[in-house]
Amino acid sequence: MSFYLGQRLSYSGELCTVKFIGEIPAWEEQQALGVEWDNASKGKHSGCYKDIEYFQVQIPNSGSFLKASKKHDGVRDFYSALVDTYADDFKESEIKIGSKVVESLGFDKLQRLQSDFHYLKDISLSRKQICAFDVKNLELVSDGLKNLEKLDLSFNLFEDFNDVVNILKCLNARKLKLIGNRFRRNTTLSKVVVESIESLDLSLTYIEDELLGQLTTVFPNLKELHLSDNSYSSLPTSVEKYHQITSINLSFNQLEELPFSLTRLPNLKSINLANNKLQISEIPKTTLFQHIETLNLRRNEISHWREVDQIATSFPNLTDLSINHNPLFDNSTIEESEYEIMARISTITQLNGVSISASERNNSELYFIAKVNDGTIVSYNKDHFINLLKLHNKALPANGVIRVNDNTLSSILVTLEVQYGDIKMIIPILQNIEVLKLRGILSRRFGVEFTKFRMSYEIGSIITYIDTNLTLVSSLGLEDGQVVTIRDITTK
Amino acid sequence: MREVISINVGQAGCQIGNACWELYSLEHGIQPNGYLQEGLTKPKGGEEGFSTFFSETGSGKYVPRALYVDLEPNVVDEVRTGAYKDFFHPEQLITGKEDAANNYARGHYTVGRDLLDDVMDRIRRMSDQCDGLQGFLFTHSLGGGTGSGFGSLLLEQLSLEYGKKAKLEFAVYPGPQVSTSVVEPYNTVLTTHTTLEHADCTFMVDNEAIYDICKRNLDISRPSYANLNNLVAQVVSSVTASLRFDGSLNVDLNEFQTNLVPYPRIHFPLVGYSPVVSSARANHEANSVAEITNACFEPGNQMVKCDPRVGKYMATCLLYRGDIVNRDVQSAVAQIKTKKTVQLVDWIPTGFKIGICYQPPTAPPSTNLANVSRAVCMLSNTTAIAEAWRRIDRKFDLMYAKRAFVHWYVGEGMEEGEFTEAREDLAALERDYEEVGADSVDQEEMEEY
Repeated sequence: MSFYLGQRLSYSGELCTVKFIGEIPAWEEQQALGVEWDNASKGKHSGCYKDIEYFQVQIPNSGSFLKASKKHDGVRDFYSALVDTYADDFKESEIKIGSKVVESLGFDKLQRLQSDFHYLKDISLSRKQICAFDVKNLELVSDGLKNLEKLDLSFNLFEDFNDVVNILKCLNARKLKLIGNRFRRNTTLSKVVVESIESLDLSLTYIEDELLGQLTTVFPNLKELHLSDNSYSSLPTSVEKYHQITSINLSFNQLEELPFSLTRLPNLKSINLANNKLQISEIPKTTLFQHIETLNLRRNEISHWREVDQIATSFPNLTDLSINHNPLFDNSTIEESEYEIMARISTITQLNGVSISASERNNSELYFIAKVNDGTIVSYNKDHFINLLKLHNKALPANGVIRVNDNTLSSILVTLEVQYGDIKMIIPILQNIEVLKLRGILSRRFGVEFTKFRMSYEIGSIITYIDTNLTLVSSLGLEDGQVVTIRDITTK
Repeated sequence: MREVISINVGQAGCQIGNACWELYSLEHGIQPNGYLQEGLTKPKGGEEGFSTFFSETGSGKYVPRALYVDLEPNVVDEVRTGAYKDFFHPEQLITGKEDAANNYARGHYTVGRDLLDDVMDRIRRMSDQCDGLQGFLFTHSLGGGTGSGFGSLLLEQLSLEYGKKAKLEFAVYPGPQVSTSVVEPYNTVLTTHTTLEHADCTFMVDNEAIYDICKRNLDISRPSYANLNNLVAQVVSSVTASLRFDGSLNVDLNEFQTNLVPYPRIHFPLVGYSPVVSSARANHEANSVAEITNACFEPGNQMVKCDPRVGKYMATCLLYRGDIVNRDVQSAVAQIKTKKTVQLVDWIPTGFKIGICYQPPTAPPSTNLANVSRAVCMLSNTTAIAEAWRRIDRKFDLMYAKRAFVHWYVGEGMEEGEFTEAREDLAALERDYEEVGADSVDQEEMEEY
């Protein structure tokens, strides 16, 4: 067998790509192959032998040299793999565990059924060293597998995507898995359209952007696209061409930012971004993930509540969110964080895989309002918070009191009208000071002795005395223009 | 022919029932209103097997052979008003007015007793519609009042009237994470004592174990009852698949049951199920036959918290579903064989059965489960499960030593003697497990010489 660069081979089930053919000093007069293993732990070096670089690898230390004479697992045609797996005249050998024979029931019938390919709806031919499709078996396959729905061709030796297309065009399969295959770069696909395919799994293929773009015309009815584990640090641009898809899986990649280009896919409803490195930066108001209903952000790098509020604004129709296992939740109990997420994102009905009941939603929102009001939690979405207040018939304080933003001074500033006898002064106060401090300020401004007066304010006709010296002014819920009266204790 | 009537008792029983029937209806292609899905002319998986669980009305509607019983109306009302309200006939949903308040005595004696005649009447009517009733499938919790008290009462009564019919139980073993009351150990011990003689085979599902599986494998931080029940439904579906789907290809549950239960009292097989993976991960783990087979022997995929590595297997069944190739199974089982941890007792000649049902598992859209093309369910009678009994007995002893909460039971007319009797019976059960796990005597003696 002759070897060529880029060839895919399998040695005892481990797949590799040929990167170098020639001689190395260690094995004189023997052909050596430099290969890059798909499973990087099989590798020994990065293509170097005694400081000479023979080939380059993508993942460091995933390369090694093999003698060309080493026996590999061979390559197979699709049909022979199919026959071998499903129509094989397999004789059961007796298995004993201890002194007991393992009994099996129904397997003879299964074998008879399976060798009649019409019965097969779901076949998996993963790790079967399939590299091509022999067209002479076309009729046998297309007639035999006419009821096929799901086809799994993961971890095979395909190089040319046209081979896969050739298999598909004689079938009627809806789902196709091609995990772990490596397709040759710069392939031009023949103009074939496979209408039946609705779900395509290209995880762990590191598929090239250009080829991915060409596939849109091959699979016009695609609904579901899996591109997980492809080491993407940014979304391939050709994904934008998949206008028809409703769900995309980008989990286990290296994305650091929400892929905004997905907003351009009009039918997309579900995005899976689990196990990436996402942080959610500020998103412009015009960029809306309008149609997204399901979002999975598990195991990312989300570390601030501002990001959660950003999700609420940027995904106006989100109903199902999974967001656990992010650094943000490391320091609180899961109950607390889930309550807070629920309250911050009003549209969701399912959180981290659990349905939210009406009472949970109600409780979480009340909890959130209380926590925001006493200052332990900060809301970064004022409109949303005001809506919550209205929803629960809570008094609507003026802008200063809502702790919606922790970093602007104006949001915690309140201007009070302070009255002492006939004197009236307008005094701006920062709400993050204690009542004691307020007392100090007023005592200086009006020249009253610190311990000799009481402060009070009036809402409606109810007079409230401000005697709690250690609480924050913000907890009083004062509004701009609120009149605060100072009374001497003796005149009480 | 060979009909099976499902009886769901109590809150847990009814909710698991819901999850199960939703799954069955999806697997067979039935809509929530009881009619076939569009484009189908007959139920998926063949009519014969299907008729064991569903009956057909004249109008082409399919009605489950199921009964929901609860002493209080709340949970069943959710069925009456929910998406599946037309699925059941109103007569199949029986509720009382007063709940059992987590009290075995109320479920078994006072409140439950009043409902018994009504329920038995309905069961008689349902069994009259069957050509050849095969048996009953019970779903209930061991910890709740209705599930434990009324469940055991009903089982006793069925045993009287339908002595020869098979009575299988799916029993929810209480777990501390999702516990509802402190008296769960009392209820569990009492109901186990009462039903020990009446049930032929009891599949236990431990809430704690399932909770952990949801957390670990499905990435749900705070699993709800709905999540737990959906997982239980997958297991129940796997166990009953051989009854529901046609063909000699499938293995009859009876065949397995005979194999699994060497003594009438030792009838608590440990259930393992795999793969349980969330949609996110399905692409990464090649769910090969070898892998899923191996996984279901791992303690982490088993439905009761116990360590089968320290116990001995009396019998093991593997029920495969979906796209399975004979050769793969053979090599997977050969691999299991090499495991030192799978030890079989020496006094049973056979002990390892494998079966196949070609219908793949279904993942309802509402669950977090991934759509996989194959799954395996392991049923094994292992002495390790005695651990579960030891655990609950210890909790029972702690409270009973101080007679804590006993007055609630006495107040409903129970005698303290019943507590002691039940506890002694469970102690005997623990001893039984020890005994069957021991090697045959003569072999040991041989080594002595």
